[in-house]
Amino acid sequence: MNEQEHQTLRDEIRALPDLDPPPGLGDRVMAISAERQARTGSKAPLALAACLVAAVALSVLVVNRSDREGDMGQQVLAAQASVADLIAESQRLEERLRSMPLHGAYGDTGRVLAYRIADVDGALNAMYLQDMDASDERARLLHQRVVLLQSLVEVESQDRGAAIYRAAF
Amino acid sequence: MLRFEQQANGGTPADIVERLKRGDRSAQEWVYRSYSRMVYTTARRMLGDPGLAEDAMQDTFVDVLTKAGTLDQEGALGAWVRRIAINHCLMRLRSPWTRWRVVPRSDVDPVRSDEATVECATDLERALDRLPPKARAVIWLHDVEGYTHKEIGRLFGRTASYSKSQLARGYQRLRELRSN
Repeated sequence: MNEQEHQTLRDEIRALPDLDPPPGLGDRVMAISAERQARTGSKAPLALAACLVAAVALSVLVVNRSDREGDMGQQVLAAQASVADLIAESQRLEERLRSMPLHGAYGDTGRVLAYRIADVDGALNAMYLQDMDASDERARLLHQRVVLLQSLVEVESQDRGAAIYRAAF
Repeated sequence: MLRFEQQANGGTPADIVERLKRGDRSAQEWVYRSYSRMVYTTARRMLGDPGLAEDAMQDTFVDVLTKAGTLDQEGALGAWVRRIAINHCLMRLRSPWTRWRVVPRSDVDPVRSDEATVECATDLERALDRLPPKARAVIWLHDVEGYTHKEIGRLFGRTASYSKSQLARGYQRLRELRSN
């Protein structure tokens, strides 16, 4: 593609019309924001309970997983895993998740893990956006991401989510 | 834009931000009305999938309305909203479970022959929807939002070369899709 064709296409993309957001979304945003602000203000016990529930679920999953031997993830998670190792392991686990049937259709436990991974991704993304050069923090987040992904793989592959959830609560 | 803001609210952008920080409902509604089209357009163009775009938009505005207190440059409200929106889109592109949902939309109906006169914009939008997600996002960030290759490379945790190659491949694919 030559520069003129590129410029023409670029102009067309820039000229695309704005899109109308779905109706009703504004009301939903207002309701969620009001609820979140109220919750933040009152430090609702429910929020704390939810965090505890997630923490217990994760602990059970991670402890459960640690009993297994021969998993490459264990080797990666051993001390001094490099950032490159962690990224590679993250990608391997993502591939594994992607290849699973019904991927993404998580139960309660899987959703807790998914939200936690999204939080970690958000923190990593914020580091890129803010141009932070904190390699230790990045490694810590990537390590956390690998642990969470491994737990999610475990839940998905062995279908133990429901059993673990019952055992935990 | 500034004149519009003043007319619509009887105040300056700084006033709006101040009211936003206090949780003023009318200021929140004004911010949503003023920026919702921009945010939804950005999310829809970057992510392709309407459902994901809606999610990203919801998260963007919840952040905007609940974190206004962290905005220190009061004149930069629009840029701040846009940055949050792009951040939420990138989070979705980088997350494995949402990435599964932003696969190219090969199921999109091709333009039928009796629609040969369909508007150029529609044709282009369909082609954009069928691009690989990251190539589409790079095209949008570079050619519409004005990000540099270096900045885009950093946003994706890669290099400037990654951004350049995604852009070149994206445009090549776009041209192929439109010529079919």
